[in-house]
Amino acid sequence: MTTTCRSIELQLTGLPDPAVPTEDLRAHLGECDPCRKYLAGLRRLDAIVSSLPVPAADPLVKDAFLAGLPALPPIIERRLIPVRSGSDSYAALTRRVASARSWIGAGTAAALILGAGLYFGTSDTRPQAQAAAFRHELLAKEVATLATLTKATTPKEKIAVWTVFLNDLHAEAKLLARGGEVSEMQALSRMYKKAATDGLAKQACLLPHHWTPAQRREALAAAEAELAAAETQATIQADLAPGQAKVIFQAIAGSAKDARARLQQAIRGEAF
Amino acid sequence: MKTNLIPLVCFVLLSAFADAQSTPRTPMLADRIRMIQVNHALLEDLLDHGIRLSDTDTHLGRAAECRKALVTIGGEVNRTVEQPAADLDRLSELADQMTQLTTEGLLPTLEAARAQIRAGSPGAEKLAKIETQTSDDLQTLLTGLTLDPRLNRNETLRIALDRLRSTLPSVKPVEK
Repeated sequence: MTTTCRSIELQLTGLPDPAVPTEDLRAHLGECDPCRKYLAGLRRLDAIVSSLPVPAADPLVKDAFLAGLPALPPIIERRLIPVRSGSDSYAALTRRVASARSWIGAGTAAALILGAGLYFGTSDTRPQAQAAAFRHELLAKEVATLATLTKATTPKEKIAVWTVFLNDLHAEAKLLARGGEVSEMQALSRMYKKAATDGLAKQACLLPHHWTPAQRREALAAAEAELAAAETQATIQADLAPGQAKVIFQAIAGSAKDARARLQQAIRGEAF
Repeated sequence: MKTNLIPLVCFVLLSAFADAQSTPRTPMLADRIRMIQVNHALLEDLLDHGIRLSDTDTHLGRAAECRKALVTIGGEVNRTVEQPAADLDRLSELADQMTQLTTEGLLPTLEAARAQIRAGSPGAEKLAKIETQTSDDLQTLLTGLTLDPRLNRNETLRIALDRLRSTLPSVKPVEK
């Protein structure tokens, strides 16, 4: 393990979602087996932690807290401001209020003009900002996958590309399970199956025939670890997810399991 | 009554200032779900191209399949334009995806094919056909978009189309 790998491990541990590494981390993961294994371990841990039950709050503690609230002092207090001597006539007070009102009016007008100026004066930067915010990440990743597959010449290169893309699909399914429609979730699970079977597993069968099982195992180790992690995660997610999302995660777990079985066949040379 | 306007004015000012900042917004869950609703058919079609790319062994074969993937995205561009209220942000996004696929996938593969194929061989003929078809497809698409009066006022889209147009000389180099 190099110093870079230690730094990468720290960055991986700090990710909000280990299923979605950043672009620079993905570049390193593409060529470093130990870091890929570390990430697979993190994902397993994440899935297990997500599945842990959350203990219910003690009702006595909650009741005691609520009962104590009325005894606390008010957050906002009403105060009477005494009128200064010498200006306590009604006329003087009215003049002061009228003066204050004119300042408020002028301030309001100035603020509105300034606000409008800021809004319209900087509106030329808005299309870029909005367009950048609404780019579909999965579409961008799929196009990047196609670009890399166009250049890839060996099964080993293609296996690495498919492994990353499968992970992207799983991450998107996780997101969609929080509020997507059934048809889109089904589309993602179909895509996962196709990418796992016709993409990844098929390329595993195309590794050079003269390679030894040890060479094939080494070439497929990262993909196998990713599939194992995906299977574990999707199985746990299927247990926790509601309704249709449960079926989709079951399908993803099944596809990951089938593809992994085919990878193991390829390692043993049975698929040739 | 007017004193109540002070917090309102402060709020308007602050909102205007915050809105004027150019920091890109992170898409919310609803945005991301809407994006997959819009794109799921395209994603599935592109996956099919990916599998065929993966199955193809030659530079020429992969370049031809990559061209077909560009045609698929181009078809999505045309469908978006045909809608009464064309989504210009989506058009810019699709144009940028086409540029990326061309520059990062197609062009290096065409370059590798050019280095491998001898002039006058059957491969050279196929290569020339792919170059011509890709160039014609992109040119037709760009011309259609440029002529549409609804589209040419959008700066982001114009920049995206210019980027795509800039790939044309490399797709089909001028013969010396």
